[in-house]
Amino acid sequence: MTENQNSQRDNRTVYKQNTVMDHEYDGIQEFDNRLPNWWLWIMWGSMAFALLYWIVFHTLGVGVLPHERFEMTMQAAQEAQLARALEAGIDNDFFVMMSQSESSVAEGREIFVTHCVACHLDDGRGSVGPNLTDSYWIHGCEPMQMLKIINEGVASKGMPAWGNQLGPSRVHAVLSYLLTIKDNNVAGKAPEGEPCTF
Amino acid sequence: MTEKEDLAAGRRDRKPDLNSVYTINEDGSRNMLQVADVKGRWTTRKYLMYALLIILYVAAPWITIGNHPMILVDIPGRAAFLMGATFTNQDFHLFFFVLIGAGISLFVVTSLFGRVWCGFACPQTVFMEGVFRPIERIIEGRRLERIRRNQKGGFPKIWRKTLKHLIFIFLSWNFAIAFMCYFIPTREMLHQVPFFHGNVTALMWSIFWTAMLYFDYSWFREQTCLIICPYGRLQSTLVDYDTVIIGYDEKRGEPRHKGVDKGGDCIDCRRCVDVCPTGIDIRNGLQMECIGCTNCIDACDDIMEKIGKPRGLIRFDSSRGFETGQARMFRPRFFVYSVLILAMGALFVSRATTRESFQVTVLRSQGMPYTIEDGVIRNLYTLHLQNKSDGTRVYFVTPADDALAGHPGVEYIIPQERVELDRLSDRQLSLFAMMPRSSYTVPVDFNFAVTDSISGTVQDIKVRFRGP
Repeated sequence: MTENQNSQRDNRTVYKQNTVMDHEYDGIQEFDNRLPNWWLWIMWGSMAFALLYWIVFHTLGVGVLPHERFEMTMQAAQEAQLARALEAGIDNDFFVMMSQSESSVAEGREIFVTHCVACHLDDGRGSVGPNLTDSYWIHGCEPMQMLKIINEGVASKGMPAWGNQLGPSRVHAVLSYLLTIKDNNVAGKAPEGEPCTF
Repeated sequence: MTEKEDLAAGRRDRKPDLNSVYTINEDGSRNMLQVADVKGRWTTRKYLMYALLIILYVAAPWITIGNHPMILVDIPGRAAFLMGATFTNQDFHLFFFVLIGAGISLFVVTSLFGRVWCGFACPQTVFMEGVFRPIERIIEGRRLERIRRNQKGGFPKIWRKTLKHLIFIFLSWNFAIAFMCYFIPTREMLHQVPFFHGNVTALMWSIFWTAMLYFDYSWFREQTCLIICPYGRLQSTLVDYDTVIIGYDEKRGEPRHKGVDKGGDCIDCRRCVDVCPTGIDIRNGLQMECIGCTNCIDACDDIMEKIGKPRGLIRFDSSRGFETGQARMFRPRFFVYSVLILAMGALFVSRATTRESFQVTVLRSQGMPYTIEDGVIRNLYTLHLQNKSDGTRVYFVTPADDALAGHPGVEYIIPQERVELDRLSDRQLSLFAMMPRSSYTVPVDFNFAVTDSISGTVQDIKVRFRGP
């Protein structure tokens, strides 16, 4: 910049001319202007929030952390489900009643042909899995016993646990369907387990 | 408005310089700008552009193309609708092309014409200059009137400010709802406003966005462009000697001098400074703060006409243009950027149009690689089939090839060969492959084929048969 150009620009008031910082790299110098107050407020505010958060959530443990809230929500949902089940009176009789409802049997059949037929075949006569239409049962023939097997599976025999994948209402539906094919005695896989009546 | 008037109005004796941000005072407090009115060619074009864009920004979610809004990001439904196309979460990788494409478009435009995006199309500017500032102007009056009234205080100031802020809050709320329509279908939104049926999340978002917009347009304003937005900071790497920018013709203007027919053409009237929405002096050259709004061009042209000088002391031109009077538009970087953007565009279009209308994945059933019963090895697979198209489809699941043919006694159990799926729905199926133990030697790969009965598209999914 020539002397002449400098004098042209002299009419500008230079802001805080004396606060150029005392380092210089490749001719580049840095000013030490004050940060905007709103910026500083955000910074101090964030620090105060972090401190408060730390104290409330980690020191005092008053607050509920996100993963705790998640667990609480899940637990509450499970409890609500259990409460509904108790209220609805889920027991052997509940499933017998359900198996008399055409809509739930139809829904159960739909689920059965999607997920179960691979092992039990389309009418439940059994292939990999046991024949579900005979009167012999490995793990018991009461609806509540069957419910446990569907939900939790039998890892040693290759029966998957369906409880988490299907959810309770669909498991109930498929169980209601099973009660309708039970004791039909379709010719299929040879009987396994003990004779059982319910 | 002359410097003297400024002083008379009590303004600090500070001029925009290159060493500091003019909108921040020496003590860090905010220097609120009172931007002067401007009229002219560019201003007219800009307001036209703003009107079109406001209509577009607000109306986009309401326009229906092929049963879906022109734009809708359905977060709970994991789907996005854009210009009639449907994207599901599996298509999320396409977003990469959108982002990169937008980035490179910005590079091309910036290298050619500087920051026209900021001045003409950015929602921040469009709503600030197209809606909020004009309302402020109507209620509070012209620049000098505003400055004087703000200093004087009292009832005339209070009622105007109150009215202005009430209108600002109301408008912010409206624009917040308009913005949320990009995420909530408009017909649902209509029934939900204002309390969202106690949907606390939606209600909190609407309050949050209202507060953000109100804060931004009533107080924060140009700070967004200067300190929050990274684009301005990239300017120095994106523009070059040939980029068309808004600049001051130093050769013609200097030495600036009060009064006509002395020195250069610039009469140092400071109109260009007074109309600047970010508070810079364009005569200091291109700066990070310049959002390319063209206010100073119109302001200066107006003055030049009044003093009988040719227009264009401040104009769109390149640095080369200002120095030599020549222009060079097409330069290597333009071609590099153009090739890049065309490549990205082509990739996006090809990926978006050839993507499958359904997605298949096959996983081995958890917990047991295989089971053996009566001398037969069984592998259980879970096939996950998702219909990504916009209508009900029927799919057929079959074993695809003869990879297992060399093994005698191979059988498959596919319980449901015909699968009907509603739009955007999915299903899991269990599949078996079985092979007598005597046929098995080493793990073999084979394919399941899923056929879309409407389009005839077949997807082969490779799985591995395992045994002892």
